[in-house]
Amino acid sequence: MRYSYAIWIPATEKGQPQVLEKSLPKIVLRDNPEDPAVIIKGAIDENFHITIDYSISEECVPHQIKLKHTYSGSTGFLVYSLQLPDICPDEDFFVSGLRVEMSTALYHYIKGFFHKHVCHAKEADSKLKAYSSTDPNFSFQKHRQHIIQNVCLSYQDIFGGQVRIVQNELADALDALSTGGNKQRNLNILDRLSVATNNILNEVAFCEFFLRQHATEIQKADRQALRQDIFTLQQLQQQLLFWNNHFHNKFSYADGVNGVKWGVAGFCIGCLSILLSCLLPLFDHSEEKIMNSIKENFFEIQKTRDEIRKYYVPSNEMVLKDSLTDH
Amino acid sequence: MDKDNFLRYIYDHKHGLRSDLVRLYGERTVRQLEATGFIVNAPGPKGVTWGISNLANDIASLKYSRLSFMERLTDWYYTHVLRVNTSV
Repeated sequence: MRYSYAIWIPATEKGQPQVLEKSLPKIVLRDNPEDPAVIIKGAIDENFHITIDYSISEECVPHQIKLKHTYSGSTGFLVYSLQLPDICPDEDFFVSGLRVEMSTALYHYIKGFFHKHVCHAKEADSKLKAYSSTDPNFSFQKHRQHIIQNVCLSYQDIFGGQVRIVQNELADALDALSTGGNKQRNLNILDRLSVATNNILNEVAFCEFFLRQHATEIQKADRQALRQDIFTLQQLQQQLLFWNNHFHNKFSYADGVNGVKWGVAGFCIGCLSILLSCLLPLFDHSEEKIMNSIKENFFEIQKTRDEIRKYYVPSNEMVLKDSLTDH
Repeated sequence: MDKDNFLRYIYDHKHGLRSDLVRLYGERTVRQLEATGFIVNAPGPKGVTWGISNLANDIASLKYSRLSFMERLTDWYYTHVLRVNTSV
């Protein structure tokens, strides 16, 4: 059975997609740590045919699928087809998944051959959905309307989804800040949301190019809904930036005022210390006082000694004194 | 079920079957989460699975993980010493 996948390579200028990477690094696809991992590695040839080598967990024998390139459009569309046997009882879940649709992970991986992430980090790239069909006579022109509608819906999901997420998380963060939740953490949430929203708003250029190129094929209501979502998201981004700046300024101001207070206190303590150091010699007589008391004591001793001498006469001197008195 | 409870479910469960998520919150919500990069997909033996992305995981840990001693101290300092009023 033949499966066809139409993908759009985001661009801002008209022209067929060009190969930028001939082979892509190995990636591991697994969400649940208990599930076996699917390891895929892709390469593209000069005719845009893609070969995907994959293995279910490291130990298993690698398998291969070939995506045959069937169409390139001037507005960035590519169509690939995959031929699989009608019934294959021992086929793995990676291939059986491709019978339903091309997963966003695989689409995102294939996009890496043609698209450079210039406006955002690779992991911040938003995910468009591939258009999958089992029509044996599939052609781009035949399914054109559905393919274009699919990309338009994908963009509605991107912008509309981000609006929902930001509305929820912004309300939660503001509630938490008002009711005494952790301040730093909630400010970090606002930061992360602001960066994520900015990354998504970078996709607006691609979306606008797409809308311009297919202006007549996209229904007016869809176009208006998409533009409304973009406008709402831009407003929300303004709000995120406002609250982010508001709280950061508040904390910076409080920190600044606190720093000034500590600075003034330090200055006062310093001045007081200098003043005390200057005044201390004026009141400090301890050495002089000791000298004076020594002197006083010394004079007291001398005085006492003199008085004792007055009454005390040694024996020889007394005899002499007596004889003189006799004479 | 609260229609906007999907974020809490994703933060709590971290991964699961895509079909379960669709059953709980609808195809549109799941597609929006995939498109914004809040969840990622991978093929699994029981069907397509979803897993929480790094961005969503960061937000989940900021919202629901336990506060460290230093975070509590900083909060106390800003609330009671600096008296920063964050009410909106």
